[in-house]
Amino acid sequence: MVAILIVLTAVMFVLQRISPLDPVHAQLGGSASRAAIAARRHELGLDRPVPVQFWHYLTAAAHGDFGTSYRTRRPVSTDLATFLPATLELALYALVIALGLAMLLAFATTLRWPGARIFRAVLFVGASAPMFLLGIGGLIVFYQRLGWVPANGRSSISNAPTGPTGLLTVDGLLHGRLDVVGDALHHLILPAIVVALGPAVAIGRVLRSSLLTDIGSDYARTAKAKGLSPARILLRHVLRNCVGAALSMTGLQVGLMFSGVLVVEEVFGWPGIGQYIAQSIPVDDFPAIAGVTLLLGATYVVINTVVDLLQAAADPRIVTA
Amino acid sequence: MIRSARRLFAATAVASAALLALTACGGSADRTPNPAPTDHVLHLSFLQDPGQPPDPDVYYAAQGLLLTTNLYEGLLQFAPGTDKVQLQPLLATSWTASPDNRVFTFQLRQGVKFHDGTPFTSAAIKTSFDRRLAVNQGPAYMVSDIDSVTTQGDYAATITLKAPNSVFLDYLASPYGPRMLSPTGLAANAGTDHDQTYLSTHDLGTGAYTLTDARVGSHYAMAAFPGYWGPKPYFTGVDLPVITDASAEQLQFNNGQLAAILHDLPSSAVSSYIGNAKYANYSLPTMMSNYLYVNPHKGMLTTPAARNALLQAVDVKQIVQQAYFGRGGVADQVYPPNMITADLAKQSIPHDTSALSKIVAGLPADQKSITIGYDSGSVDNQLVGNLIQTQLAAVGLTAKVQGYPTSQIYGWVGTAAADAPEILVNVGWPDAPSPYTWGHISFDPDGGLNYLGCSSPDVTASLATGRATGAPEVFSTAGEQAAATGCWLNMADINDFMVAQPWLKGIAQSHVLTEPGSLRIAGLSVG
Repeated sequence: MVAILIVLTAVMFVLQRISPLDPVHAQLGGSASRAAIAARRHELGLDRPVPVQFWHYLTAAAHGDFGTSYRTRRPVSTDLATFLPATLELALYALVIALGLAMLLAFATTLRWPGARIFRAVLFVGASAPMFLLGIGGLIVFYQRLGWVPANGRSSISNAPTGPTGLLTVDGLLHGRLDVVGDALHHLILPAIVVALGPAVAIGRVLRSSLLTDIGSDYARTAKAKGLSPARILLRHVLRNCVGAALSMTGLQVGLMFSGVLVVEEVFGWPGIGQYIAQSIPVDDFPAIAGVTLLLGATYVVINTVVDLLQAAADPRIVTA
Repeated sequence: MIRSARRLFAATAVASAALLALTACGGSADRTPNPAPTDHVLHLSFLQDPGQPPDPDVYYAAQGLLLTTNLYEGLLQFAPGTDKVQLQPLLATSWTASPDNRVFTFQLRQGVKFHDGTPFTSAAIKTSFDRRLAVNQGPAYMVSDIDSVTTQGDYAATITLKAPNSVFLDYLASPYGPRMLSPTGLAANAGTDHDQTYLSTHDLGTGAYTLTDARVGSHYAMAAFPGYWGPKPYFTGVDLPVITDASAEQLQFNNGQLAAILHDLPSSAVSSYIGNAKYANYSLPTMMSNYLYVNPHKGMLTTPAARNALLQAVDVKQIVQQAYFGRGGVADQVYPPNMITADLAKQSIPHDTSALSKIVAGLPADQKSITIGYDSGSVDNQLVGNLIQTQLAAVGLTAKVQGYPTSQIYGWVGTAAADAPEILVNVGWPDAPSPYTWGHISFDPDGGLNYLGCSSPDVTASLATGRATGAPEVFSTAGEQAAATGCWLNMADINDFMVAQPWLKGIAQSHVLTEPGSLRIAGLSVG
């Protein structure tokens, strides 16, 4: 994992240095003198040789110091600690909803429940639509027309607790503020559903495919012969054998979900990593861009490791190294 | 249990589909007008985070002026509610300037307090200027020519410059100009970065409002300062969530959650609000212009004749009508609007494609392709680029329209960069009303907005003379000389287009020519 992150950092450095961008001049504005621009470049260490800058960045990053954002003027580690919990909370709830919808989709279509086709059609349309369109459409219907959900941000409560986790639903519980929890969930529901639809369909289809394959297997036929209902056979016997493929797809979708979260955060004004990097890129805020990239890279590696472990736990036949 | 789950699932699926169809396809019910707030809290918004801390010695962008101009005050200001440049007292009640624009003496307002309770006296001037120099960010140049600041008691001060500068008073009144900060607060919170960390979440100003919340990317808020020396504002609180999508912002405004949208409405939204009697809309004068820059280092554009032929081929009227309907007009001066009297620095480029057609006809095929660049954050200029593309196609040029990030555009300055386009369209405005502030950064070879590296010794000499004397005729000459190079075309004078709930009063009176996208909130009320 460390080697992957070092290579990722090196690639970003090379791209940054060969790009024609000038974040210092953009930051200081049109009236800045050449001397002021040069002074600021020196202050930021941008006039040093690239290998020196790279080494300095790596050694600092190893101690959790990702430099100072050109834009916010704060340590990038502070910014990440501020913005990451919002993204994590959104991704977490989106994942829960995605898994729930996926299970529902797989079961309903495998068992041919009434209404399964309508449900599948709605999910497929939602998953096919671009996320920003889905988000705006959701705001028009559920915010503007129905008034069921708020339009922007994580919370309408100005004095919501901001620690210890940064996840409002958890911090609200820890501080005994059920009003904060309720309000946070109210703000979460629509963006989380928007993020969840695509992964729900992807995971649901893989799970359904596995279920359909295994439901015709010998052990399933034996269970049926013993008088168990199809639903009970699926739940108690077949599901555990089929979960491996769905878990792999889940791991993949979680990684893709973070890219979707970036779009959704823009639509819903969600103050997360996506919004942070969306504002950092146009001004070439390299410390911020590098910090987020490293963070997402590490997250992706960790998630896939967790998925591997879960697969091993679900199916002991899988040998883990 | 499984059977009842099936029934429940079936019923939910059908009901959900029906509900979605009804709500999505149904028209909006007639709504009562969005009511005015009864809690004296004004709900506005930022479209994207301001991008820099609300520190007056750091902030050098656009929409965050709503914070810095309401939290902080300088010695002077420009009068709100007018399209004329009028210097007015603020923390200085009167002033004199030496004939050579080198020595300025100010009488200061008494009874003013900083938000931390420290009384405002002449001692604050030097500490504030020194802090600006120490921080040394974009606006620092405005005080870099100060030789000395001396005080004559608590309520008088004299500022002496190293060299004559007719623009200095304009700097003091500029929205980016030096503001008075509490010396006590500066000393107590200096840290290791001259108070920059402290001022990212607090303020040390004298303005009508104090900063009560500053969460980057999320939310900002201000509250009326009880000890303010001026009239008490109607709105005791200002709520500023960060909204990152223009459509979402408009939805919230239409729903009554926002009192107004102050800037960055796309042209399609402008048209719809102009025709909508439910809301009030305002087109307010500014010093913003949309410029077309021509690259003198590329292809056929290396001669003034070719560049001027290109400018003549652009149908500016069509562009302004489509991109700036209701909020702008065709520019007839070289400088941005309201910078110089209407009879000076005239720009008159007739629309005529014949000269460019002739030139293009004689070009080899590989020189008939050009790139039109724009800042990728500007939806309006993407439209302008597309319109120019169509116009140039008619004369045989194949144009590609390309967005560039702001940092890349600034990277071209002073470099004759190979990746710079043949044409760039970009909106800009000066730091202060003096034509020098625009002429220097746009037309001088070391100008920070001279993106494509065009210059002329005559222009530079004229600007230098104008800086010392302040004579408008000299700046007029500089502007006309710049126009003759064919490198710059002021296409459109752009107004601030704002929409507001009908109950929000005082918008036009609270708008300042030099502060785009911003309002003096203390002048707003409900009516």
